[in-house]
Amino acid sequence: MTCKELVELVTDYLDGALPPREVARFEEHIVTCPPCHTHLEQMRRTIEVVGRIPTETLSPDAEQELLEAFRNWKRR
Amino acid sequence: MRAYAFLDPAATDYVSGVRWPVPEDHGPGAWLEAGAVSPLRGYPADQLLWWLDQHLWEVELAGDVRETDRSVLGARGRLLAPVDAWTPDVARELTTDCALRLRDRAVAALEADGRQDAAAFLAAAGNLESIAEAAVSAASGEGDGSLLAGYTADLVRVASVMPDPARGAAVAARIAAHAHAGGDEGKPGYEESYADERARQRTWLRTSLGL
Repeated sequence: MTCKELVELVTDYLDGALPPREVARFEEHIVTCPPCHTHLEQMRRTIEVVGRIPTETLSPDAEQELLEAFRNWKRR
Repeated sequence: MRAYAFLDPAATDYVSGVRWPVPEDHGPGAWLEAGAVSPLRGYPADQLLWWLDQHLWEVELAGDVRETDRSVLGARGRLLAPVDAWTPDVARELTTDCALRLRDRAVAALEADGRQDAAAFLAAAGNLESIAEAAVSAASGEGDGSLLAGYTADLVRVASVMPDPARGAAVAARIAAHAHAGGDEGKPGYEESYADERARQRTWLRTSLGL
């Protein structure tokens, strides 16, 4: 697995959506590539922090903007 | 279910990022709940090796326990006791074992390439420092011998710059398996050869730890 492939798979990995073989390849890359490990940690921290933001604190505009961003993210 | 986990001195799992509560006395540590993106994970004794760190702990996993190909995941977990057989010396021995096996492959390939002098020089290298020196020298040129000598040199060099012997051994074992498998994930037979070498390394580690 290359660093580029790993970056593309990191959210699926954290979601538990990768098949076992890909999980194995992902984790074997992580343990030998400090920059990718750092990227994984940053993504994990981001998800943990964002996951604690109550949705009622978002303005309707901000909520719409985030939903649009996530929709576009999946299309890429 | 009981399993094992390699953790850093702060009791953090390098891959999952989970920091386990360390036992304050001789009993087990406090129970920890798994997070949404931070699974609690241990490895069976025959699956150790995928990641190595400075400390090896016996762990207990409970709740919704799930076994994967390599590891055991749990909704709750706690540390039971450190495994004292895992030491920096054992980690260094694993690195050396990986280097010596790869050196032998490189020597055979150099001989097949007709490079008898380089093969003899590398074959005579018995410790990591001399293996690295001979392997760097043999890595110049074309052919499988050069490729394997290059991987041998990389293995020693990269392991030596890792922050501790355990992480050095983890990287050395990974490089060794990749090299034994031909160094190209796309090549036919790569996965089988890679798995064979990893299985051999796991057996070595389990035997060394007496688990």
